[in-house]
Amino acid sequence: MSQSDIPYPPHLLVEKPPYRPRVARVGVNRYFELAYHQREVERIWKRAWQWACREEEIPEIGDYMVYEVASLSFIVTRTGVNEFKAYWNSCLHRGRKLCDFAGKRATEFRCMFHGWAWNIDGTLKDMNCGWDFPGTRDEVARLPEARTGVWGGFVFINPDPACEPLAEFLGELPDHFEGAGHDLGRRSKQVHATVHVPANWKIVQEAFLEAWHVSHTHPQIVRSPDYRSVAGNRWDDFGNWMRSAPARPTDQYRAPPGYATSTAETPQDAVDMYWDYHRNEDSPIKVGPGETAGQVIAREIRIAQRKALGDAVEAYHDVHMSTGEMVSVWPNFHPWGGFSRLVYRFRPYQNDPERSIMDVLLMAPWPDDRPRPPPAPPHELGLEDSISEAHELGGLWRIFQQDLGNVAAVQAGLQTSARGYVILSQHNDAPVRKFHDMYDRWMGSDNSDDFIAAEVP
Amino acid sequence: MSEPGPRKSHLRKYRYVAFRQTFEQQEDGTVLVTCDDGRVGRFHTDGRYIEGELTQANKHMLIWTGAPPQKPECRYRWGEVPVDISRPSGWPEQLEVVLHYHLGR
Repeated sequence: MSQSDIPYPPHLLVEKPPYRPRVARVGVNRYFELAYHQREVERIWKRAWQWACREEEIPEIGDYMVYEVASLSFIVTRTGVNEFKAYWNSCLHRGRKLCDFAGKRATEFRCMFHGWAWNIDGTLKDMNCGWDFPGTRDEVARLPEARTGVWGGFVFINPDPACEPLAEFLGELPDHFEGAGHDLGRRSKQVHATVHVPANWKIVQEAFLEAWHVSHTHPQIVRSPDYRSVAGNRWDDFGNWMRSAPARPTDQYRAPPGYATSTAETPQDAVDMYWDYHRNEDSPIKVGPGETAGQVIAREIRIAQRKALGDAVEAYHDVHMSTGEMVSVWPNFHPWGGFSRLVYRFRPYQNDPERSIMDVLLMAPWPDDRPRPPPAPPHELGLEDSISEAHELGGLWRIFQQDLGNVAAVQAGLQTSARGYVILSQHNDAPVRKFHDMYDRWMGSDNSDDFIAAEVP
Repeated sequence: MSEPGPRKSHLRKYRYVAFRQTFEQQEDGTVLVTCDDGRVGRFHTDGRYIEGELTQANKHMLIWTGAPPQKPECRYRWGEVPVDISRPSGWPEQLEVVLHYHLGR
């Protein structure tokens, strides 16, 4: 089947109105003041759906993970074949964490301080010296729960008991993954890097929200002008989530001028850049007469993915072979479509507004006739570690090294900002603007003296 | 997974067309930048100038060029799945990581 026979991926044709163009100004205080962090905990992290772990990380009943965001900690456990529960990770006696880390086949969650214990379904099992707590048994009879939901193999939690169901929150998101041949439930967690970053979680996330920075921060990967399968990037707003996707040549809302500048002199240059074959080595991938770089890249990835997907690779458009759309789900979850395999998550670290954790996953397909590969455990990199130690990311760690070099400098620069605000553009920064509009809505910042949504004529 | 062809050198060399410059990794960890007009400068990978007529260069290209070498077994291409589908050798020591993961430090 030739590419001309394959329709452009249908879900990429779903267009939502681009975010209303305007310039916005955002106060810098939200990036480092403790008061903002504390309000985020109350207004966002205690109320939002957030990905906590993968189903396959807790495959057996009683397996559990500890999910932490800011100062909050939750036990996420499998209580049935397809049932998950999440509990606030705090003993109802004196508040010690019930679980210090993940575990397998638990039958109870017992506090290591005075021995109170709850069954994995959250019911009270053992109230040590209960005689000494008259009139309190009812209030400790169940561990306080967070709501749970599953999409694409990701187990989500929401601490707010009044929250809407996950499926309602995500809306049509599944149509864009399962419906487009990219069921993340059929992907294996091949790599998981957990990177501690000396910057506010919003700064780090914003470094990945828009693709404009690629032209300056990642000059080595800017594509060739003959990359005709896409025409820059487009951006769409789906309410609780947004999407950056390869644009069709007919798109009205495509990348404006100056979005990206090619650094490739020839199609062969573009292919070599894509896979980082530098000029002191011979590229094993040659661009043939009449071929474009995009065609060659898609062809080679199709060859590689055939090992996992078989002939099904022929049904995918080149766009999905060689690139992918990044989806950003409020507030911090970023699964990619296509075969880029990436998933990001950004979380504040404890109660330090100037420190965060970035999770990077690679989610790979595997052959139907083989068992699911075991999920990669997190490779944790502390503040003193270099992301260059995460070799399992392939060439990606060098790209993240460029991004992370920026974010630490942004954190520092914001605190010496003379004007006290940053400026977000009408087009290229639209995803960041959208994020801050959501942020203000969730934070209840209608009195926002720090957010200046001024329109510029 | 196709391996790169015979290397002329293990040191990286890139051409950055937008600035008409070539970036070359040096044995000592620095990066030599040569302009099409003949000017040359040497820099640390964090962008600090060391010597030469050229005194400024793109920091991100310096990072990209001068980064530590990639472990060969982990040099799979973007968009690909490593041949064995599971984790190739040389990834984080599995036993140590799994112990940390399930049992804590």
